Amino acid sequence: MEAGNASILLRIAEFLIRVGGALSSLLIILILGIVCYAVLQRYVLDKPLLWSDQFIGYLLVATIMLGAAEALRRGDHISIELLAERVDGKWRLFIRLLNNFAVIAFAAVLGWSTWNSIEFARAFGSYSVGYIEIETWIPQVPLLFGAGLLILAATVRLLRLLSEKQP
Amino acid sequence: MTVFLVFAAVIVLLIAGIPIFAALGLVAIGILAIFEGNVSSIADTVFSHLNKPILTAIPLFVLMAQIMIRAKVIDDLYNFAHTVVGHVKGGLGVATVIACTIFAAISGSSVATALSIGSSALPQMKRFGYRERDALGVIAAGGTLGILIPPSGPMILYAIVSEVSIGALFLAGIIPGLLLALVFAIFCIMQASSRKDVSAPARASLWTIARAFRRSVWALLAPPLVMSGIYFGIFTASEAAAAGTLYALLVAIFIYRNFGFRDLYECAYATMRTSMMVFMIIAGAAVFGHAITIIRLPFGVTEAVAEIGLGPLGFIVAVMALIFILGMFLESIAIILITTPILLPTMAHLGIDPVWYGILLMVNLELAMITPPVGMNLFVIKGITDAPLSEVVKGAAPFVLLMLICLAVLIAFPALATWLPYSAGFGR
Repeated sequence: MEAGNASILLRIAEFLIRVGGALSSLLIILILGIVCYAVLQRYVLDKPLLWSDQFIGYLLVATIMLGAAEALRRGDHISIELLAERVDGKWRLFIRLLNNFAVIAFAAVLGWSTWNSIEFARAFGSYSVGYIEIETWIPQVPLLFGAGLLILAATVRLLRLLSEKQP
Repeated sequence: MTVFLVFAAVIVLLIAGIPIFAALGLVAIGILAIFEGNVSSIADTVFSHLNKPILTAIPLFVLMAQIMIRAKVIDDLYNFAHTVVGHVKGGLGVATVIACTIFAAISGSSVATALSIGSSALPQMKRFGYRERDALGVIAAGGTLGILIPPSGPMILYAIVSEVSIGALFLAGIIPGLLLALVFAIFCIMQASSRKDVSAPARASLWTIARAFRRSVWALLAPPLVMSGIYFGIFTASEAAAAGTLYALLVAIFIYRNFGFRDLYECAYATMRTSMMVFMIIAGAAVFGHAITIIRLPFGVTEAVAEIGLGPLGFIVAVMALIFILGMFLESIAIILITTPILLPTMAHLGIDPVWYGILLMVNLELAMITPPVGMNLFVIKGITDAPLSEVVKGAAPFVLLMLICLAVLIAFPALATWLPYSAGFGR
């Protein structure tokens, strides 16, 4: 029963990570649409969009942070496998576990730092400079989601590695 | 001493197989914790480095290439090149180089270039008696042109870190890229001429060439569309990338008629996977760059260079040797993002043109793609052919030598890189 529950939790986690990846892919299409629209407005209609650059910057941050965990799940983040390929058994498992702990550690510090930054911005009530005037903590929220998804993805990989070793 | 410790920490974590973004991030966190006692600046650093509209050029150029590959727009490129020059002995190798050069001007990636052209070129070369090793070598080396001939993902990254105009850098890559392609093509003819087993297909009729041209014309039109906008100063890099992607999309939908929203989503998903890897390294390198600036590491390097008394030429040669060695082990994006912030102050101090240096760096990173033990193109070619890695390495070895010679020529004659951007009005 416990193993079944764990399996369901892993599937839910993977589903969330995949949703992040799907949203990130759709945001890339949205960015393409906005840049093309901005080009049309600037060069054809001679009415440049004033907000597009700032908005695209925010969208890009969201795109990256939503997709980073899916890229981790699919093993796309580059690492040097020289050592892991030359050892086997427990050492290889140890290296793979260590790598996932490293991702969790980095993402945890990033998430904690983002939380602090958001809290500070909310307490201070600061607004962004530019054509889109919003509270500065809002565009930072995707960093928090991204860090959370990365921790989730690395944890899933950790648990899968450990479960592979179980008889 | 600090430089040594920082590099040692990065190398240990990388060799342990930790993803590059996390390795750079963790070293930076360590530095900030020790020297500042506070790591709360990390979120702001990551946000400010990723919140840059110009970075959209990276996924958009990838998306453009993905659409052209999926809609099979580029499938006829090799066939066209093969029809034009295939009848010359060694012409199939030359056709591979030409197809790689054209695809390099569509895609910003060496791996994508080697993958896309390699699968059509290899069977033809083997059929006409090329030694497997030679065929593998020309595909691996031809593929590297992807990062020197614009558009180029690594060039965009270097331009952002060094605050050089992307347009200037793109234009600066054209002549060295074509020079390298020419040298590769000449070598292919010489190599084939020395082998008795190599034959060549019959000369194609003008009608056949015209038909091949008609089939490949939509792929051939993409590079001038993208580059002319940048050359004439009409488009920024990200606008050019969006225009190129829109062009690819229209060609796929209305000319090839094999592309729907599902295909667009699949292309965007593949783009997302490639780009997130790059962007997360940017995030890790941003934190790393912030941390080493706090401990004044780049300025320490400048002072050390001044103490040794290295001039600009000596510095460039030493840096190129260092990057060549790093390239054997590290991935090109990591090399750009780790070394550039450290070296920039020294380059400014010595009066080294960052556009010229950028091109030297790209040629050196091309070498990194085909030098063992870690050479992305070597692995890609091995992956698509199942050939032993040692054969791919041996096949690529003569091209390593040729690229080193070209690197030396570019060091001796900077104008080969800088003439075009400055003549187009990009200021120094």
